[in-house]
Amino acid sequence: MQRTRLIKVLPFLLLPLLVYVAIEVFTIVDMFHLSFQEWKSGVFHYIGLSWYKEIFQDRYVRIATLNTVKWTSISVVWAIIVPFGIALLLNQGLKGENFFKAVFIIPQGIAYTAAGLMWATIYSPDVGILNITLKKLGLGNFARPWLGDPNVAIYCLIFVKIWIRTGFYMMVYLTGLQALPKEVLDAARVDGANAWHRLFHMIIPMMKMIFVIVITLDFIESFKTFDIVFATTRGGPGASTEVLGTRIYKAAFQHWELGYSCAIATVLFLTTMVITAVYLHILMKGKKY
Amino acid sequence: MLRKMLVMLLTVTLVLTSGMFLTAGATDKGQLDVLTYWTGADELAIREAIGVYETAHPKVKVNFESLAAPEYKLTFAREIMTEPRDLYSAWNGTFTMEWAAKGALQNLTTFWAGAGLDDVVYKDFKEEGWAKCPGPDGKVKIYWVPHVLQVRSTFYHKELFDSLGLGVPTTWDEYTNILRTLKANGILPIVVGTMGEAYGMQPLIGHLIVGHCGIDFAKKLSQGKESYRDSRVEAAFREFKDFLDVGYLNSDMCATRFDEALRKFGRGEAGMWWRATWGSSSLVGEFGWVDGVNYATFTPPPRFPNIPVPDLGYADGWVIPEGSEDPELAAVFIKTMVSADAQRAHSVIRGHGVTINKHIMPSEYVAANAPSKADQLRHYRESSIYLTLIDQFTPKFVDDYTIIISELVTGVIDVPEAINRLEAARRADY
Repeated sequence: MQRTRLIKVLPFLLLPLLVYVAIEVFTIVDMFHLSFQEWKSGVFHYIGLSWYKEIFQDRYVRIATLNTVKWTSISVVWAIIVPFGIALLLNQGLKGENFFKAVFIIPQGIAYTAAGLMWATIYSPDVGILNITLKKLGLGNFARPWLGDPNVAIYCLIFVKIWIRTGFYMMVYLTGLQALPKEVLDAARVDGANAWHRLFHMIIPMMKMIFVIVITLDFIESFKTFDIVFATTRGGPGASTEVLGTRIYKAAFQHWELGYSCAIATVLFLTTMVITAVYLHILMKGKKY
Repeated sequence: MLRKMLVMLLTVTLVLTSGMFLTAGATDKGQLDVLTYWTGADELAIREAIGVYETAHPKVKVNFESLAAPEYKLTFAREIMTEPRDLYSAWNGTFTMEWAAKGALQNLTTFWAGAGLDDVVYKDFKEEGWAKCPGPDGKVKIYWVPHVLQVRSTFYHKELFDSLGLGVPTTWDEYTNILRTLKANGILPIVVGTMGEAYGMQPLIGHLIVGHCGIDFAKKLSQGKESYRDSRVEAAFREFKDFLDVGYLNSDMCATRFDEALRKFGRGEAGMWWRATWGSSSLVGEFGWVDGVNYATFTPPPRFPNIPVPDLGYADGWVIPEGSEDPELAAVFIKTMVSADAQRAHSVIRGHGVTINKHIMPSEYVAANAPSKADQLRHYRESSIYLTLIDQFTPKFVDDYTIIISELVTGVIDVPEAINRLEAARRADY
C-alpha cells in the first residue's frame, strides 16, 4: 500500500527534487570543491587543507564567530520570549487587535538591506531621530554615535533584525495558540488551574512544535546574518560588528580569495547543519509528527 | 514527397546552423567590449572621450558598459575568471596589483614603449604602485596605463573661510591656526565619514606620515617594505590621535557615512573635508556649488619645512585582461584615451579628475572654471611628486588597517598597540 502510494506520488516529486538538486545540492558541492582550491594565472589549483588551516589562525574569523554566536543567542532568546508574549496578549481578543497585528507585521515586509539603511539614518549621530529625540527629552547624555561605538554597535544591529522578525514569529505563535483545543483549556480552568499553570503545563507543552520551528528558523537565519551588517557598518567600528557572513564576503570580494571564502562558508554550513540536527534530534526524540 | 521535403528541410537547417558557427567570430571583428566604473557625470565624461576615439576609428564599434564600483568589482572578478571583455578600467595599486599577481592581466611594458607614453604621461605614473607591479612570477612589469588622476586634497568651505578671514595656509603654523580658529567659532575643523571604510581618514594620516617620515619612507611603508615600529611613524599616529582628542576631527567618524560627512560640510557645520578630486562632482551635484566660489581645495602645507609635500592621490586607468579577444584593438583604444584630445574631453570639458597628459596646462582648467583642478595640476608641476599610499596596500592589509585605525579612533586601543598590530598585519599581509 505504501509502495503503491509512493509510486503514484513520485512523478510529482521528481521535478522539484531535480530543481532542488540542481540549485541547492550542486551549489553546496561546488562550494566544498572550491574550498580546496586557489585561483591563479587563469586556473584553479588544488592546495589541500591550506584554507582550513588558515581559518583557525585568522583572528578576525574568531572575532566574527564570537559575534555570530552573540547575535544568534540574543536573537533566539528574544524569538522565544517576546513574540510569544505579544501573541498571548493578542489572543485575549482585546480591542484594536488587528491594528497591533499590523504594527508588528509591517517591518516583515522590509528587506534587511533597506531596513539596515533606514536604521543607519535613525542611529545617525547628527541627524538621526534617536539622538534628536533623546536630546529633546533632556536625555542628551544618552545620545551617542550608536553605530560608531564598538560597545553598542552590534546590539543596535541585532535590534534591527529582531524588529523585522518579531511580527512574523508573533503570527506563527498566534496561529498556534488559536489552534489549541479550547475545551481542554476550559476544562483545566474549571478544575482550578490558574493562568500560570495553564501556560507552563498545558499551552507551552502543546506548542512545543511551534517553538521548535521558530527556534530552528531563527537560529539558521541568525547564523547566516550578512545584509544588515553589510548595509550599515560593514563589520566596523573595528571588528565589533564583524560576523561570519561579512567575513565570507570580504574573503571573496575584497581579498579575492574565493577558495578561502568557500572554506569559511563550508565550516559555517556544516556547523549549522550539525547543531540543527543535534538540537532537533534531542527535541524530537521518540516523537512522530 | 513528404520524405524529400523533410530531407531538404533538415539539410537547410544544418547548413544555416553551421554557417552561424563559422561566421560567429567574423561578426566580432572591429568591436571593442569595455567595462568601467564611471557612472553619472563621470560616465558622460568617458563617453566624451570615447567620442574622440570613435571619430578617429569609425569602423570600430565600442560596446561600453558602466557599473557602480561595488558591482563593477564583482563583475570584473566573475568575468576575469570566466570570459573577460577586451578592456577594463582599473584603479592603480591594490586592485591592479592583486589581479596582476594572479596572472589575470596582460603585460603592457612593450605597449608603453611602443606607444611613446613617456612623452605623454607624467613620469610618476610609470613607477611601482602606479603602472608597475609584480606579476605572477614576482617580476615587476607594467600592467596598467593611467587615464585620470584623483588628487587627495582638502576641500575647504570658501565662504566660511572668507567670513572668518581665513586663507589658504602655506605653513603648518597657519594650518593649525585655521584649525583653532574654526574650533573657537564652534565649527568642526575637519569632517570625515569613515563608516565601513578607511579611505576617509587616510589622507590626513598619509599626509602626517609623509610629513614625519619623508616621501621615500612613506612610499616603502605603503608597499610593506618598512616597519610601522619606526619612531617617526609613531609620531605621525600620535599627532593624528591628538587631532582627534583636541576635537579637530569628528570623533564619530566611524558612525558617519561618507555622504553624511559631505552634507555636514555642505551645511557649513565643518570647515574642511578630506576626499579626492572626484568629491567636487558630489558638491556640485548635492549643493549646486561652484568651484572657487563656494568651495576650493588646497594641499596641506609641509609638516616640517625640510620635507616637501607631494600630491597624494590615486588614478583611474586601464588594464587588458589575459583573455582579451582583441588586445591590439584595446591597446589602440588606450593610446587614444591618453591623448590630449581625449583627455581634454574627459577631464577639462567634462570635469572628471585631473589629466595625466603633460601637454595639458593648468590654464585650460582655469578657462573651464575649474580653478581647484588648475591649482592641483599647478602644484604637481611645481613639486613633480605624485604619491600613492593607501592605494598600494594589499587587499588584506586594507581590511586590517581599517579595523585597527577605527579601533584607534574609537579608543579601543591606544597608539602603541595600533603600531604593534599594524606591524603584525604588515608582516602577515604582504
